[in-house]
Amino acid sequence: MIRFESVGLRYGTGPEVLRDISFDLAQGSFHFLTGPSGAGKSSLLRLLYLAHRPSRGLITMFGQDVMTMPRDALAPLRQHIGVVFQDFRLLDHLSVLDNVALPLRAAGQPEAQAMGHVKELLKWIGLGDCLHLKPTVLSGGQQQRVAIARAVINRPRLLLADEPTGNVDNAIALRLLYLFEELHRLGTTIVVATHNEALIERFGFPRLHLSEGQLVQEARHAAV
Amino acid sequence: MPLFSRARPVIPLDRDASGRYLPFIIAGLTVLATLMLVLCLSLSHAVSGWQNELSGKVTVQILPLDKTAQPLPERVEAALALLRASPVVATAEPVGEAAMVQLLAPWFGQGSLPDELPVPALIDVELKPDVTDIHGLREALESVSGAQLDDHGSWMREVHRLAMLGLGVAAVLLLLIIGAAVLMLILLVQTAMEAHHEVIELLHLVGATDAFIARQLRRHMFWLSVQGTLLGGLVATGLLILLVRFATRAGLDVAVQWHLLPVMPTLLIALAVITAHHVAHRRLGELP
Repeated sequence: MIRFESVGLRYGTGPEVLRDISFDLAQGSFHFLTGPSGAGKSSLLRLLYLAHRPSRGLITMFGQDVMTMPRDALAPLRQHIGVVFQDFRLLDHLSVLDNVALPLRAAGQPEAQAMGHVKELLKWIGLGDCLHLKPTVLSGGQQQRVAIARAVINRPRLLLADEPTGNVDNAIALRLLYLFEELHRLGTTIVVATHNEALIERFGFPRLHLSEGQLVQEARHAAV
Repeated sequence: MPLFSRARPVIPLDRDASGRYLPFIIAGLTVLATLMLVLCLSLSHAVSGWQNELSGKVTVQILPLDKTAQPLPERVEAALALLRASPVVATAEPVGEAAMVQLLAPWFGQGSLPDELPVPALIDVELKPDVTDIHGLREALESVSGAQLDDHGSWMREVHRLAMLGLGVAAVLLLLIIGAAVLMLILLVQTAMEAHHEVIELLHLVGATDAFIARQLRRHMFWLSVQGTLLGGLVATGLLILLVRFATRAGLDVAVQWHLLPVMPTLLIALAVITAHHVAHRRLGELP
């Protein structure tokens, strides 16, 4: 479903932060993205959620060549990708409801239908009473749940999470991974960047390990 | 795709300090531009009205000559006979003494003119429709001593030139105002996009199209410009009413083209929306 071939990335005229990255992610697979700080995990995630185009190489997502695709065609592709950012990136001026509804509105889904889905999901993750609250009054754990709800609201084919367990205690981290595992069982391809070795060991999914901008341990066709 | 979305604003543009002053700046520009447009086009309309009124009309003036010449009434009769026989003339009527007194009243006051004053006799001539060449008529009148034909051309040319000059200056000033408005709008949209680049980037990443994001900016600029032009339009209308009142009191007949009042507000709103659209799309095009 996703293929990287000899992909390199540099910011401006700086040195390459990613070099010769090649891997395949089969549909419905689950991968941990690991590596020390500065190894390029966030850059690789940025390529995966189409925040950057690579400096070289070939990226194919959902059967389409991202490198040669016209810019306008990328927006519909992004609607198939859910991202849980490390800092959540919730919009403080919008309510929880509106934050989660954002991808649906961006995709042009009818308002009544979108609201129905959002309320249902927020109720399911235990935030049914917080619909009209602003993210600033929520706890860190609640904010994270809102961020996850926003990432999965439009049923993405690819879900990316950047250090989702970094700011929460072990119990919440475990619950979070169970949630991702559940989504993975439903067919969503998942890539989770994390430093949490205990969780990686516990769940046992294959890992993509980065070191100094290069993939040193890849998992070719690692569909689970 | 709708021009303006009814969904609540995703980008908190209404919190921008710069946006708070925009309606007042647009109001000022609307006042200036509206006054300029309405006054200049009213002037132009008045000049063309005078031209229409005077076209097809000429005046024949019979000057008083020394006592050895033929008496003035006889020369007037000769001129009238010549004019009425001409194929290009529809009517020719001498200007009566009462009308002459009125004409000269600004210089000599009301009442009869002094007998010793050498006042010329005037004949109002109306030409037949579509007559433009009066060269033959002018030549024929040369046979009457002291007769001069005035087609008002030199006066109208002066007035026309002055009006064109005024219109030219007004057009340049209008262009400057519009240019300033566009530059200000570009700067404001760019500033807004810079201030909210994190929100815009997030929208971009969750799959929002450029059109979706641009719509937010367009809608914001639309409402700001509507507020500004409404305020400016009201002030301009008030100023024009005052101006007309003062002019009327001063004895001037000012025919303001009131129907032109909505032109500049509409143009400025359109400019705001179009500028927001183009600037937003250009800046969004820089995103991957």
